[in-house]
Amino acid sequence: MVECIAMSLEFIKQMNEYVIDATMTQSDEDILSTVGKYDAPGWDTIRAAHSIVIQAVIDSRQSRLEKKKSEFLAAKEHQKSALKLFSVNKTVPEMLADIVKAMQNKEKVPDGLLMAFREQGQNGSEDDIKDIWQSLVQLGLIEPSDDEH
Amino acid sequence: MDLVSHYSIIEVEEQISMLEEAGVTRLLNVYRTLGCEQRARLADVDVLHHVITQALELERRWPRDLNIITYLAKSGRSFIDNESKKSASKATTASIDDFLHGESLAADTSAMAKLSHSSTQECVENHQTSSLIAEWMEKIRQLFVDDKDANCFIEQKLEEMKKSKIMTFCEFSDQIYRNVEKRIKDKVRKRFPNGFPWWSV
Repeated sequence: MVECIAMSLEFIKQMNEYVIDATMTQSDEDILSTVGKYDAPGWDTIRAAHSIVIQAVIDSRQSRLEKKKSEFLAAKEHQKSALKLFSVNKTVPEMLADIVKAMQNKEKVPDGLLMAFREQGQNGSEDDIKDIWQSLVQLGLIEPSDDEH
Repeated sequence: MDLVSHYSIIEVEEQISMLEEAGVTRLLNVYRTLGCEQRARLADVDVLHHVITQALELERRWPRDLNIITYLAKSGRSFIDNESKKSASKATTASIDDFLHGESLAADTSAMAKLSHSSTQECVENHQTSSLIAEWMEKIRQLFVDDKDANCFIEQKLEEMKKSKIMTFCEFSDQIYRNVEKRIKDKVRKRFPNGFPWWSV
C-alpha cells in the first residue's frame, strides 16, 4: 500500500510540475486574467512586488555608481598623495630642471601645451613651478621618481 | 566572472528592469504552486525579492541561454527547496531534543509519541493520504474521460513509465506525445490553477 501511495504521490508531483510548466508558457493576457482569482495574488500584491523589483534595480545601479565614484576618488587621492610625496623630495631648482628637460623633448610635448606652461610659468613663483612640475608628472612627461639629481 | 556564458551586472540590471506585471504575476503563481508558504514559510513576494537581490548581487550567476522567467523561477525553486529542507531539519531536531529532555511526553507531536506510533494509526494515516491522492487522481482522470490518448498517457505516467515506453505503448509519434502532454498541462492548469499541494499529504 505504501509503495502504491509513493507512486501515486510521484504522479501528483508530476501533475504539479505540469501546472508550473503551463503557467510559465501562458500568454501575458491569460496570466493577467487570473489576477485575484482562485486564491491567486491580487493587483495590490502584484503592483507592490513590481515596485520592489524596480526599486531593487534602482538601488543596485545607485550603489554601483557610488562604488565606482568612491573608487575613482580614492585613486585620485592616492595619486595626489603620491605626487606630494615625490615633490617634497625635490627642490625647486630640481623641479625646474625637470620641466626644462621635459619641454625640450619636443617629440613628446605638443606645441600648445608648451605655450600654456610657458604662460603659466611667466611669474616664475615657486608655487607655479611646483604646479607645472606636478601637471607634467600627471601627464607622464616627468618621471617623479627620477633620482638623477 | 565568465561574461561569455553569463550576464554582467549591467546586463542583469537591464534585464530585470524590463520585468513587467505579467512576468511578476507568473513568477508569484509559480512560487505559490511550489508551496513557498506551506513548505518554506515564505510569502511569494519575499521569494521574488530574495531571487532578485541574489541576481543583482551576482550571488547566483545568470546563464545567457535562460530567459528571465525561467531563471527567476529556477532560482525561486532552489530557494524554496533549501528553506523547506532547513525547516524540516529544525523540526526533526526539535523533536529529538524534546525526547532527550523528556519534555512534552504527553503531547502527540513528541518524538516519544512518534516512536510509539501504532500500526493502527499508521493505517489510518495511510488511508487518509491515499484517499486524498485518490480524490485528486479521480479528478484528473475525469478531465480526460473522452480523450483516449490523454488517458493512455496518464495511465502510463502513473506506472512511472518513461517517454519512450509511453510512446510505444500508446502508439504515439514524438509530435503526438508532445501534443498530448501539452493538452494535459493546459487542461490541468485550467482546472487546478493552484496546483496540487502534495506536501500536505
